[in-house]
Amino acid sequence: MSRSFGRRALAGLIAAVSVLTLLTGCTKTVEGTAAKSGSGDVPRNDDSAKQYPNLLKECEVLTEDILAKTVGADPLDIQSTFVGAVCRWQAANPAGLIDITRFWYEQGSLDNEKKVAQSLQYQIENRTIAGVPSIVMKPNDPNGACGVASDAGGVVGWWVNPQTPGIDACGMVVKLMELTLATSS
Amino acid sequence: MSWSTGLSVVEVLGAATVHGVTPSKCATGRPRSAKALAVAAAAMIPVFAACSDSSGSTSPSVPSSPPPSQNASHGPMFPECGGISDQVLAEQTRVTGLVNTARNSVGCQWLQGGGILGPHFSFTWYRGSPIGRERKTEELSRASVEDINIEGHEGFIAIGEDPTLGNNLCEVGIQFQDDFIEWSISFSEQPFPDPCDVAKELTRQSIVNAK
Repeated sequence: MSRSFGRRALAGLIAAVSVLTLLTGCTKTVEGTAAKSGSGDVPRNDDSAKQYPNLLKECEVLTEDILAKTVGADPLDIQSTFVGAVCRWQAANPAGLIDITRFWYEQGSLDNEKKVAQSLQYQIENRTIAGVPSIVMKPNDPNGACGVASDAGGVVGWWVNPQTPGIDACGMVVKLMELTLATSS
Repeated sequence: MSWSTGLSVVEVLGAATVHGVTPSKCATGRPRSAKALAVAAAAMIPVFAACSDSSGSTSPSVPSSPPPSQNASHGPMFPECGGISDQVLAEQTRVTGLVNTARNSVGCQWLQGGGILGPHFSFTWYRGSPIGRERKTEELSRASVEDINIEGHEGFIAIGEDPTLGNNLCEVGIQFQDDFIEWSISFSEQPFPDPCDVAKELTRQSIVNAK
């Protein structure tokens, strides 16, 4: 993970990659041309980067604007604190600060997340979100923390941890998951 | 699906300037402003489906990703925060006023006064997520990344440098089959203890706390 490394540049790269992918998705000729040009002569081992081409886009499943809006914060009042297969943000809801966690374990499973939630003695509710089997998890937290995990692409999930009570964290994570499943479907 | 590999950033960005990349037979024409493209990045999978030869595109509610391995081997169970209490964290880091702002099944994050300005400490538990990817992120962004073995388990230790503070950041990732845990220790002002000593000790305790 690392904090605040060139998020704007990153977004540009992601956008660019998406265009290219559109290209390769819709016209078969492009793929070969593009692939050959950048390969080779890389001074350091980049096997992992090749193996995991989604390395840099993961936290962008939803834009920060959407995240902020969903948790009732000004889009200017959200900041990433951790990036990777797990991403964390902090957003300023007028009622108090809210920490958001997103995870995507591509070799994970909803079953395993359920086992972990049981092991942590969370309250677990089975739900279907956007047609996808999911669980909603509630720890015994005075501020009402709430999480969701869905059986998609391995397993994907969100947590909302408010720093003050009185915020509908479960409503927020379900909304975030609906948006996630809608955009990456 | 797999993306073309080996693209350099420059070439990818170059590709972005190509016009007319969306053939008319694609289901949706997408605006090409940067922002819209960012959205398109997230939304491109349905476009894929729309353009694919196989007309029988499957359920639209299954997101894309590298094909998940159905039989990932998971490691041990960890307690919340790797079993590290707020008190132990404060003792180890010698930072006062820390708030555990994101205690959940993924891990925990401690911030001074609960805000992001200041030191960052976190425990993160990845379940069915390759440690190699995380290590690569470290290799691309850190001053050094080395192998490490703690309590008989293999992993990496990454050091980050700050121009004024020196080595103020250390991250330790330890693998447990298809899972791994990571402790991240980042100080924001002097004086502070060796961040790698802190990260290694918290990792050691977390491993001991695993069930």
